[in-house]
Amino acid sequence: MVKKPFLFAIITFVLVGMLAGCAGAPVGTSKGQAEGKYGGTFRIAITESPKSLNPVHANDTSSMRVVYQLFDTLVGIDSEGKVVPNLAESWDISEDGLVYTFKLKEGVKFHATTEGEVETANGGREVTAEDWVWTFNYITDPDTNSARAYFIDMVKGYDDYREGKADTLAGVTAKDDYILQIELGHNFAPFISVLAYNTFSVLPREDVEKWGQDFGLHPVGTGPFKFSEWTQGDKLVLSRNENYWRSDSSGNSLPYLDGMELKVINDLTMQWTEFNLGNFEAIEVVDDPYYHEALEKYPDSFFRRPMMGTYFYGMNVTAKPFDNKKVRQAINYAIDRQGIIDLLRNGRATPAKGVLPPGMFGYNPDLEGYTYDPAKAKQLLAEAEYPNGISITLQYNTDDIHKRIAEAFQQQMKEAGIKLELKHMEGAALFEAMEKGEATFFRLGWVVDYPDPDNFLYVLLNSANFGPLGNFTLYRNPEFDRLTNEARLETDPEERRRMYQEAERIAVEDAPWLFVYHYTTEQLLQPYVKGYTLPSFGEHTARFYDVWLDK
Amino acid sequence: MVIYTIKRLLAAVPVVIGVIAVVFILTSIVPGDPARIIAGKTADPETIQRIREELGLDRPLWEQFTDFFKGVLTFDLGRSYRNNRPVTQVIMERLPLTAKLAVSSTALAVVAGVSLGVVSAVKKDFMLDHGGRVLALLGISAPSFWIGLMLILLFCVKLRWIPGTGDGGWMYLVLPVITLAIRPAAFIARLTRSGMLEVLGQDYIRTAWAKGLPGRAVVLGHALKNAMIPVVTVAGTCMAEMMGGAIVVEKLFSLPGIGRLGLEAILARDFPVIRGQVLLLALVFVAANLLVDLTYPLFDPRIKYGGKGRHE
Amino acid sequence: MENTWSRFLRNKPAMAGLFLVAAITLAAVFAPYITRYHPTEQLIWTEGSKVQLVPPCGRFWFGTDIYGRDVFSRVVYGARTSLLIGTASTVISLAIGVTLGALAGYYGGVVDDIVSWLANVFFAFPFILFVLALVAYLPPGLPLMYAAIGIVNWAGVARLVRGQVLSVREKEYVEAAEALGGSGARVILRHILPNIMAPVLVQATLGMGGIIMLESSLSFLGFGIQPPTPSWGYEIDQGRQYLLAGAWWWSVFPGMAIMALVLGFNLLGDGLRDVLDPRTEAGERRWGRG
Repeated sequence: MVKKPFLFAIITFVLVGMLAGCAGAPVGTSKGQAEGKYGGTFRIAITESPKSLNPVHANDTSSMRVVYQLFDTLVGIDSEGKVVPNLAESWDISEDGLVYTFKLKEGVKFHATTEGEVETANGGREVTAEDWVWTFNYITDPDTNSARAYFIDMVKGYDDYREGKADTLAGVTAKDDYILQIELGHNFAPFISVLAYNTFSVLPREDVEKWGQDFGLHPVGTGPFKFSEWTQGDKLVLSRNENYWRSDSSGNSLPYLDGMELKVINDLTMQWTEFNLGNFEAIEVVDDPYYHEALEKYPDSFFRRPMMGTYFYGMNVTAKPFDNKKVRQAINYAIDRQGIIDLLRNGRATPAKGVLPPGMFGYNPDLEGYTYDPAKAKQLLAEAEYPNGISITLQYNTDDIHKRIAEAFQQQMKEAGIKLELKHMEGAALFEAMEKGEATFFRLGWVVDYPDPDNFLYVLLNSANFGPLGNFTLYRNPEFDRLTNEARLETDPEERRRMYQEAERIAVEDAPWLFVYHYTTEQLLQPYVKGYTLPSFGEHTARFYDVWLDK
Repeated sequence: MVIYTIKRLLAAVPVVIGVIAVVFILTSIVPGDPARIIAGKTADPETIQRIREELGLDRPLWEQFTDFFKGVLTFDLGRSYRNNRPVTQVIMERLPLTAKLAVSSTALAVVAGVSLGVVSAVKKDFMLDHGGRVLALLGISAPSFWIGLMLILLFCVKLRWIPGTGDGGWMYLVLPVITLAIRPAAFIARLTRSGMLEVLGQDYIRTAWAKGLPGRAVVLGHALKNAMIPVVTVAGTCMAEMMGGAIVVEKLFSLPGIGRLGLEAILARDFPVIRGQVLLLALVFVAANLLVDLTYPLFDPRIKYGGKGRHE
Repeated sequence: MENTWSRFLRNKPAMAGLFLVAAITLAAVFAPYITRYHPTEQLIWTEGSKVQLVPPCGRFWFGTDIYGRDVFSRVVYGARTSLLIGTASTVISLAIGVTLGALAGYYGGVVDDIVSWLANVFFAFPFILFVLALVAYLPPGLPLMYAAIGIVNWAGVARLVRGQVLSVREKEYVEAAEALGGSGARVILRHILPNIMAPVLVQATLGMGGIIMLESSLSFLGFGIQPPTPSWGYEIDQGRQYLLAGAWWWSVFPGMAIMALVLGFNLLGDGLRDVLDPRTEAGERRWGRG
């Protein structure tokens, strides 16, 4: 098997209409100082049904949102993006950066019951380092077919295990019940933050083996909530885990909530209506028509903060007319980013000048990017020998917000001599069309998985990652490739920054994307919801163990 | 009657086979590889090939087709491409809601439509009749999703009476049921009116009518019976269509019923679910038509389904 | 014939229907002359947010949408889409339905069995799913929509024509034509079809309403005509999202347009039936979908 470069979270190609909020304004948290009240069910309206609740397969924001409540990872990421202990109390990294030694928390137990009072196969036993070893083997087992196994392909013995040359994953070992050691084949600085991803949650072997393929429909973990029931496409119910390992600062057991209920309401108008009727504690998306009303009505419980993510349209640079750099640049000059953000998105985003979002290490505030200049676009098209303009088709995943933006681009591009046709389809079908080269102009979004430019530039634009690994544009520039390859192994931060900024400058010049905007993440809550923190990686990564209802 | 029913059921078999054949032909010419969709975005070619074999996608269409029918006999419709759950389970989960919707709105349509039709017929050419007829015409001519939208605007937004969406119990179904019932109700009102007028216009009836109250009751009963056959036909068709055709209303009110399942399955190219659903709806259609025919003798004693009887 | 024509002119509902259909058709044909703005012209990029979601006023009779497009213009041009699809699909369904129905009725036997079976299959098919699937999977475009909708509607036409042919084929003039050695096709074309066109015309007129409604449903679900071509169903869906924010005009006016046009065809069809074909009961007609 070919050695795969790692792709951090194809999943986070954001397929759901992710809404962004303007920077400033109430950011962050409703953490109460006092200890919380017990009781109540947290009801949230979501746009799409989760695909699978098995962490190794959970590869969309809807699934991740639930997986973060049912399972636990070794480490977590706090609201500022810093790595913090979770099931690992502490850890040690060797001088050469190759050996990670984790001290595990004692007394953490798997769910003893699930789906009402059904006893789980594991019986609620304690988690030990052996469970972690088994879990890492399960994740990377080719038969498991986890889309994200190669997130950790730098672990020693990964290739041998995948190819069947070894029976186990050599790099992960248990030193005793509470000491776990992970050895890497080569240095990779962001490795520790990779382990915060939901895929790398500890799983009870007995239950995984009992359910096999269907574990994703009967999940059992260590999280603050237990799986209760799931009506596909409709409602998902979680109940309180009475054996949860975490307690609040006064020593009271967590979580405070009796349970959570996630209900699928595809229609954003209905989400807003129901929220106002008091039928939900939270809704996933506040659509633009009601944005100002939401700000007025819920000034203290509508949280917004910038999120490291980029909304863009990819172009297949091997297909006509996108094989011509001038055409790609012309398209970038043809749209009025600020206009769209102000007039259609209520200013809830930042225009994208390049690939990297603000706040990211290596972000270049001096990057020039593209401005709105239809005349220049026309001129470039003429230079590219399309004096009569071009006709192209945008394919996007079905969503009201994407549609609204695309319809505006349609008009703006017309001014520049670009005829834009629209076609929408479901997310999986879109990916397939992109991969087969049937979709040559496609809408995508990317949200950060770990705060490093590698996660954007290398994954999405390096020619080693063609196709489903991340680079659907098939963009290839030797200098860009060299810079992004070398930066991965570079240890001097300043040098890395310089390399990434140079790489980004090249990518912007070559324009394999139509750069649109950078996201912000938002969460609208009822005013009586306390203890909530909006995570910097997006609202879908929030954990609800210390959220409570003050009513 | 029993023999008639059995005959009708047997006659339905080729129709259902035809329906499924159409689905198979349709899903086989669709661009897009199901194995690819199941395997996920990052799967390698070997995995995809393995899945193709597991699903039997590498075999000729004809064999897949016969396999499907073998499965039907054992209530095994395969598994959803999206989450690998049995199709029967996926459908049964969504069915109750749609059935509730279809049954209640058909009932509402019949009650409202027949009442309006009777009043219209009895008060022929009075204001009430004119008003009723105009209403019925408008009801037939407006798209149901737009009616639903106007109802939401009026009740949920302006008056704030009824929670709009979701499946939280009977209250939540009120608006969708009204929305779905309006068009068939309007249609039934027109049929009832014309059916009754046909009887009321006859000479001997006018005489009976003139004889006063007891006579009038008999006449009304007689006239209503005459009007009921087309009404039952419409009610049956309407119910069958609502089981599959409530898509727009389910979308509008965000109801997780069969219609929305179909929409989701089509968008995601989840062919086993589409097949299962089409099969179910074809069966519902056949059953509804049969039921309609079986109720005819209740309204018209001349119709009898004996062993020899023939009725089309 | 004189008699029929004058009865038609005296039929008030039919006249009202004719008026509605004619008025909307004229508006569609002369759309550029009665609208101030082109339906796809987005004024917000030049005039800013003050032309965004403007309520009905002297400048914009039906208000504007979020792009500052004139809703009146979109409704008028939307009539073009509806009428085009209605007419084209009706022609397709008539072509298939009349041909197959006539063959089945005239020849009977195996031909009849096959056509009747096919028609039954299409009746039993959950029809909106069928159209949705066709439109979703095949490349976007108008001709495809016509075909998809036309294909579904043929079965009703075929059933009607078959019944009519059966009822006239034993008539003397048909038998005479056959005795004179006329070929099957010739007899059907020259002697049978002209005598059964009245009910077909009635059904086609009534069917227009159903097709227009179906097209608007498809567009409402996002599967119809793709933007920026104006379509009533699409307007309603987009306007719906801004309905609760107060912009009622965006979805109310297109809905009224659908209602007016469908009502027009229904009245016209009912009137034609009263005049041409008094035998047919209203109940024979399948109630349209929407």
